[in-house]
Amino acid sequence: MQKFWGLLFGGTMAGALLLFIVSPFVGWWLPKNVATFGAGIDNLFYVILAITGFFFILTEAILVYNMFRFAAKPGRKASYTHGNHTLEIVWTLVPGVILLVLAIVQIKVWAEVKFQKSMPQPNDPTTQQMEVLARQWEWRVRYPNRERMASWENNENLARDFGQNPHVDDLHITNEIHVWTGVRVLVHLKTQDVIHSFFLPNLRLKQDALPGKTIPVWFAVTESNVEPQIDPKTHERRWFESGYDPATGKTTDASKIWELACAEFCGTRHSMMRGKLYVHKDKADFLEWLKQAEAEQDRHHPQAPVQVAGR
Amino acid sequence: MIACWRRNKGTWTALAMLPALGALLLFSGCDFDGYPQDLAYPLRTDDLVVGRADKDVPVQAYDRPGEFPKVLFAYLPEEDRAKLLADPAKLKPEQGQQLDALLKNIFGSPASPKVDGGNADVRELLVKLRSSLRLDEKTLAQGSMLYRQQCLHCHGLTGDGRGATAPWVNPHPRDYREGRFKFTSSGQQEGTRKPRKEDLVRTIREGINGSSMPAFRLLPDDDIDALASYVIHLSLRGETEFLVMQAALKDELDTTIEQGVNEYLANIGGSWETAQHSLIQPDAFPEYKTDAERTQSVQRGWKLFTQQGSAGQGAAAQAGIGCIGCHIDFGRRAAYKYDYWGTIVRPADVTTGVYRGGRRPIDLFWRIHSGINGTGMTAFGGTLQSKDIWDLVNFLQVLPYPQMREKYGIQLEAGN
Repeated sequence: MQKFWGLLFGGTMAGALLLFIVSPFVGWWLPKNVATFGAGIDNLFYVILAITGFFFILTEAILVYNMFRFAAKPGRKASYTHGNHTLEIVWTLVPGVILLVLAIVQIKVWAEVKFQKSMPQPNDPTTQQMEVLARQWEWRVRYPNRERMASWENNENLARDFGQNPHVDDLHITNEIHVWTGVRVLVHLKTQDVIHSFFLPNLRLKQDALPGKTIPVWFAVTESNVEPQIDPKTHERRWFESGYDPATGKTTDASKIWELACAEFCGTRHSMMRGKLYVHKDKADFLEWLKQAEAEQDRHHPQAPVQVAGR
Repeated sequence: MIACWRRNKGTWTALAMLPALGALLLFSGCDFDGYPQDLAYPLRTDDLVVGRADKDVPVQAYDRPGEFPKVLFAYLPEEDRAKLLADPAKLKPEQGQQLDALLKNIFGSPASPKVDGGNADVRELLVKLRSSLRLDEKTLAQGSMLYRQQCLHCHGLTGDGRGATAPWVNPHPRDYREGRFKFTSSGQQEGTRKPRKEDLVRTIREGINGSSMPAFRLLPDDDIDALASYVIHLSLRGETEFLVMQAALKDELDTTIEQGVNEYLANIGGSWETAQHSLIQPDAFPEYKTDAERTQSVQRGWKLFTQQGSAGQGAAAQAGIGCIGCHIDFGRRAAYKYDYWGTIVRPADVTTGVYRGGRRPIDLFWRIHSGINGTGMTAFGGTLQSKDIWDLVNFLQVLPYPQMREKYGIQLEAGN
């Protein structure tokens, strides 16, 4: 009877391992990475997975084997072991050293993503800036309009105040992050109420938004996922994700749908606080979208708001 | 056998729990589409708001978290509150039952909503309404399912704005049952004014900045349209119920409940139909050829905002319309007032650059032109011409930004 428990544990572990091995082939693995620093983060993940995986299988195999082999049997006396000093030193030192190595190895990646000196500077004319204001339960993004962006190219000091100084003709768009391939983006992350977390899984990027602080976040994307198309229903030009078919309304390629989510519980609709990441092919395409969005926001004659991007 | 069970009670118990665990894992996170088939819209039991509060709120504060909706017209003395509210419990039981049955007949249930029923005239009107507002059963069913997933927790089952989340957010979610919606672009008379469907779609899609209403931009257009249809359905049902109950409670229903339902539904339906064709079209936005012209427009807007028209002169628009009379200190020290739903609101602080009904110039134009239904923001479309409203809009767009105020020569009186 007691051997049954050993078998149960062993079987469960084996099942879990099998599930794990199978998962990349059935789409349960990491989402597609499109960030420039994403590869570094994923490498760390795989290194840690390999180390912990090895030790996990080793220890569990030993455990299950011992449960099975030395299961209680009526008539057999238990044996008392005192402990093994050498073994205890080894299994403390080895993990300790491994952790130290990991801590050192990850510094470079951490610095690349999180240190302010690695971030694109506001007064660099090639930086794209936006302000993301998290609020219950949406992401309100403020973009500079084309005129403001152009003014930064002539006078880099003007770019510095974008974070603190909103202008009346800044674009206010909800739940959509628009960038273009290759550009280094600087996000001024704020929150209007409680703690939220700005999470872009396809960029391996996560940053808590804290009340009272403006936190700089940066990223650069390697490929694009939107293209302008004519909306079959309204016959207007809109930007749709490459993995979405506007005619049928269905997702044709999930690896091209890149999302923004909230990763810090913030109330009733935390799980519905989602957004989309739209990466334009190049700056020209981005500016085309921006032009249409500006026209939309500056509308003086009656028309229902047209959603320029997305569905 | 028994001995085996006795020896291994723990094991057997543990094994028996495995199916329960399996069921938990299997069913957690499942989508239950739509409402249960046997769920019906309940007849309302909460107080009806039957009067206007002519006094301001006695304290400069909103109701405390969790108090809504137990306390409407919070902070008013009890005898004043009693005059403004009517209790549906005072309806005669047979009246309540009749009303309930009629509403079920016309509007269906949450799982199968419809807008179809009543006498011959009403039926004819509803056919028109169903086609112009897309209130067919298929759209309403789609809207009902989405409503349950996205909107129910704030706006409640019957669109009463009394969902589970409602007491904890301020401003409170809209109660559709008075048939009033704040941000409209239709030019009807206030009192019967209904929103155009595009206004509801705008609210759902863009949200209401400055309140807890989120932006549902990520929903497909079709879904947003279905949701707006469902909201209209809830509003039709809610307002019919409200008006009939109000009349019955005041003993003013000089016909039967059935006739009352038909009469009120005909009125309400007619208003909705008219609204769809009553878009407020402003005169074209003036082209400013020079900076000086634009500055003059902003200055005119400033004057309109801050100066009162002189009484008895009839040229009020030329002197000013005195927005600052309610938006005291540009809204920063505005008084708290009661709206038509019994909750506390205040004239907006226009120095923040946060606009609930939308920040496009045309949205600001519509707010000034038709006011904000259900609140004290009155309509100025009758007193002001388009060009004056555009001046005000230009001024409002400059006001929140210190650099722009400097450029256009605007001063805030205190704390510039």
